Amino acid sequence: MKVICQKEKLAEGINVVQKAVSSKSNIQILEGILIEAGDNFKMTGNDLELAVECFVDAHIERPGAIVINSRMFGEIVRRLPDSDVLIELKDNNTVTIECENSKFNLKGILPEGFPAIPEIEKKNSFKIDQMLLRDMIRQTLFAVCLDENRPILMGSLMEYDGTTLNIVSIDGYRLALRRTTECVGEKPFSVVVPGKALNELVKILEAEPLEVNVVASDNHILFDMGTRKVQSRLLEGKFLNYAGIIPNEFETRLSVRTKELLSAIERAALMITSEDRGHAIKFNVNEERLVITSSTAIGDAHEEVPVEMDGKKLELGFNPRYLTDVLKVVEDEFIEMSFTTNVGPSVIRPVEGRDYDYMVMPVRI
Amino acid sequence: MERVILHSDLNNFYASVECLYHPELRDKPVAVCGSQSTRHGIVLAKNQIAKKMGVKTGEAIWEARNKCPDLVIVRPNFHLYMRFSLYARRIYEEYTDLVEAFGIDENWLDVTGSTRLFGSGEKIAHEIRERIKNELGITVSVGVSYNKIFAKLASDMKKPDAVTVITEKDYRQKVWPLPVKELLYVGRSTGRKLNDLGIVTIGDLANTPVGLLARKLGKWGETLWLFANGYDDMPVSKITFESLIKGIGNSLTAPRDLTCDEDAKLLFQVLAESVGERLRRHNLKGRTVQISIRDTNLEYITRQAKLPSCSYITREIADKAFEIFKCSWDWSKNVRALGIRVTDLVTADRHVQLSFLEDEIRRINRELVDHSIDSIRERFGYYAVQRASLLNKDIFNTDVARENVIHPVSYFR
Repeated sequence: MKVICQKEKLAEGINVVQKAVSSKSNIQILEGILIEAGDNFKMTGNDLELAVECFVDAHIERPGAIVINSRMFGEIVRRLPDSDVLIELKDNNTVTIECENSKFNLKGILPEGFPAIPEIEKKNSFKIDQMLLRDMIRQTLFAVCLDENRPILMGSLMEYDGTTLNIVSIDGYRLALRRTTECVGEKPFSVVVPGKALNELVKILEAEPLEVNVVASDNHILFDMGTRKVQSRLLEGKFLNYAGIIPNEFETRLSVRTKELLSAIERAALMITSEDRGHAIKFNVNEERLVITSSTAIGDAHEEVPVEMDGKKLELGFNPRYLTDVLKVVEDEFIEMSFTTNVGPSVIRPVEGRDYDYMVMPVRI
Repeated sequence: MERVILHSDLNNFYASVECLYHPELRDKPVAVCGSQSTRHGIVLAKNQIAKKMGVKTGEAIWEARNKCPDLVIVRPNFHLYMRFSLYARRIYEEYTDLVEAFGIDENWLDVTGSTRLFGSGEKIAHEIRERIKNELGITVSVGVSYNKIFAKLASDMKKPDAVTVITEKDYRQKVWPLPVKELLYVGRSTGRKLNDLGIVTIGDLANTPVGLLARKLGKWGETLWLFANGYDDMPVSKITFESLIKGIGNSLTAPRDLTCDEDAKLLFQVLAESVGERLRRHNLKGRTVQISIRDTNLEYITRQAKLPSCSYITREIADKAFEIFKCSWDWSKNVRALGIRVTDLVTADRHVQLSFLEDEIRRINRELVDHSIDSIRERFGYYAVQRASLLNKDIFNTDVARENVIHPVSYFR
């Protein structure tokens, strides 16, 4: 194998496939990146849960394939000058990397032992804009459950009913649901994608209006972006039936400017240090203003946010992070916050549109 | 070399902190009373004024009110007490690194190595007393002696805001006339046994032939004799209050071998009653449940799992323990003893994030039920209220906490 490619393109490609390389594995080859030169120059990372492929523009002089330690390869390429990089496979599986006045010889591993990416049976598929999918994941990912006692909730539900695509994450304390009709699919389906895979996918999806083709079988899901492909194992089991969980009737509603509420909560949360982990901020919903307070050993904070309110006065506590998580990813200028009781769920929605529901449970104070 | 040991005891700790935060209460009788979710609490601590009116720690609120109708009842803020306990510890740690917590409000300090820097034990004791008063706004009694047992006795002698010294020369005059029950670990039952032997004061105990004590009380008798004579040589170890209570647990050897799931379930129920009650008494909740199983060959395993959220609910602990058991035991051997231990403890008054995957209303109700059971048992005895599942299972039904008392191991590690 002998290929020449631009340092920047190479570094970008490594960065993408590294998302699927385990930094510490008992199997040495899984700590490597598979590089293959055929008709195209392709890199692959695969930790058996998640696999990422990336095509990189390159001039191929001689085809071939080898696996190189991912960390070392990445460290070297990142530090090379902005110039053409020559990668050549020599005898004894030695890989030579040359760039201007630098030259490295690395020991490679024969590619035969590298796990193949499972062929995906094209059972269900849909097309969606990459930017839209990225935003949808971003707006739900933080509510994915981290508790291993509830394995099925450690992923997001992706369900398509023929017209609408829903992405849903639930950790028991909150539920985030983002929906869109701006996608084209064949037939209805429902899969649960591991949160870890989505976390990497979000970084790989491009912030440009390009299409991604999503293909799901019973066990795997493939996000095909043309030059980049991300394939993950699916979680097995039945996702929580969330339909009845989100309440429809509320005691109190308020609408508020998103950014103002976010800043006020962030300031009030400054009183809560790691020592007071689990400590709540208090919401006092009152006529024309929302009073947010917090009090710990450090001191106390008092914030007032102008709101439009409707319904009963109410006092309740929240984990501030459960609110800032959502307020940071909502792009709408105004949100509506609806409350049931001080021990029941509250719901946050953009004032306009029906694309997003976020439900959060309060803290008993 | 003779050691210099201090025992520092924060006076009426909970009540003092409350009065500090509520100055309007300072001139009134105040009692901090537990079980914040029920109104049947018991007195956890009282201030000096309430003490003078005869209010005692551990009695029910109605009893205290009988003696002292104006008693102001406040609910405990364990978070706050933990913080003050830590502040006090920071002051102690300026004098020595050997600070050993004994409960939230008591600490032993070994200042033997610090006397060259800071002066005599008595001088350090006064300095600490002054600093706690000025910097924290509460008071402390400090005992100074050459072993931990006498240092603790000394701190009890003069309260509040005082220093008492017991030396090798004067312990016979100061310690020996005290009633024997003042001695650490002489509880009601040991006290009664000693009284039966005609031992009334610590001096009596010290002058009883050690062989007699060993015969009557076993190894324990010897230990108490050493205590009474000032021969206690237990070192002061670096133990913080948080590390002191790492977990709460009980184990019980069944009166007959357990042969089926149903047996195990019942025994876990009994154990959880005790563990749950102790957690609630200490106002702690735990996240991890650990079980231990000893089979008829005396082989021993432990297994653990996490609860969905911190809990001190008897039912949740028992269910989790049994769930772990079912995954870990195939009944290829019968079981001789079982144990439950709850760890990953936090104070119970912290804010609780509610979940919609759990029936939170039911959890709140279960907490209330457990608290009510605790107060019924507090007044009318353990057997006044019982689980129906244990009703006709006399051989399993025992008050694990009280009838199987194991002395705290923390002192003898």
